Amino acid sequence: MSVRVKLLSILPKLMILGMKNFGNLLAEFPEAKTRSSILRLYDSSGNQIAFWLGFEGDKPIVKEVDPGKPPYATTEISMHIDVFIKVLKGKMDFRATYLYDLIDIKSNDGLPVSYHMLLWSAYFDRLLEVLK
Amino acid sequence: MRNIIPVLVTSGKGGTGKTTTSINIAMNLAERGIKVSLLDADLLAPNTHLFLDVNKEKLREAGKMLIPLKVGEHLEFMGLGVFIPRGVGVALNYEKTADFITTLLRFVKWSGDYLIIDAPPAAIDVNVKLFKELRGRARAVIVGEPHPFAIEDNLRILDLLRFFDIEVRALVLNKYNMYQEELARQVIDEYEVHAKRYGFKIVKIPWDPELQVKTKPELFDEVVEVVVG
Repeated sequence: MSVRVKLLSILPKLMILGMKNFGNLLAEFPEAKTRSSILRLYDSSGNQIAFWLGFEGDKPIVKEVDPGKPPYATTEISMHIDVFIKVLKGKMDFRATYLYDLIDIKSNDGLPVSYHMLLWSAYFDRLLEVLK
Repeated sequence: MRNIIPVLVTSGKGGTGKTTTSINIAMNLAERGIKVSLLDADLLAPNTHLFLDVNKEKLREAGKMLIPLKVGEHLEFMGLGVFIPRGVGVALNYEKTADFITTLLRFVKWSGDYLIIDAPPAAIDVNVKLFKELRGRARAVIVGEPHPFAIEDNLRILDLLRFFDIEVRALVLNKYNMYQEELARQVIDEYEVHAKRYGFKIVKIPWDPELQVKTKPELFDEVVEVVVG
């Protein structure tokens, strides 16, 4: 596994930081508690890492899962690690990655993919606010 | 979309003034105290929000439906443009565009009596998707200009609207006084043949440079009366 992917061991803490610091997240997105996501990152050598993001009650949970056999989630998102880093650094807007075809989003709950994309973009907006 | 009446603002080609017409129809209705929803469905050039003070609004959701952005007492808005950073290329393929149209039509909690839809231009696949969604229950306003190319393009969009059983209420001849008088007269004569055959009204909107920077809902009284009547 590449060093870059290993560095992503901090990712669960990072993502959960965003979820905890949303403040009014559940007020603005009350359905968030009913949703879960698989975030899959890969590098150019074909290495993959995947995380499950969701809630247990009001408590946000992020855990690493087997990318080959991820548990069910209402949505799945995949992107190259370099794209993810650009988004976290604020060098590329999350919406732009979708418009430029740099990420794949899958919907497993019947909602349109673009609906999930807008929710994810709201998530990343807040995460970037925290990182600032 | 409960009992909301969709009104498509469309055209046979780009750059005719669909966005201007959409916004002014919406504002005219709102000024009459009618609850109106405005949807920017032109995903090729989502610019409707530029005329509205919605740039600081954040996305919200209720019951697996997105909440439209409140613009005024009687007007609400939703469109992709407001959520995309300025200058980012909107390079959506058909699949993504169609998916966005589904989200914007079916998964937004519209509360207006009328849903004014700023549609993409031309008889293209995206409009087929949009017209299918609204088959048999929408009204339409075609926005054109009085010159020969425009009439050919507008006849194509008129055919498509009729195929999907969408009732064309008005043809807006935008900037009609900008064109050479005799040429415009010939084009208008031909439009009048189609207007008589298919039962829509031709409404002339004069060239007004202020419309590029501000709304003038009062110029669209005649269009609104045809749409609502």
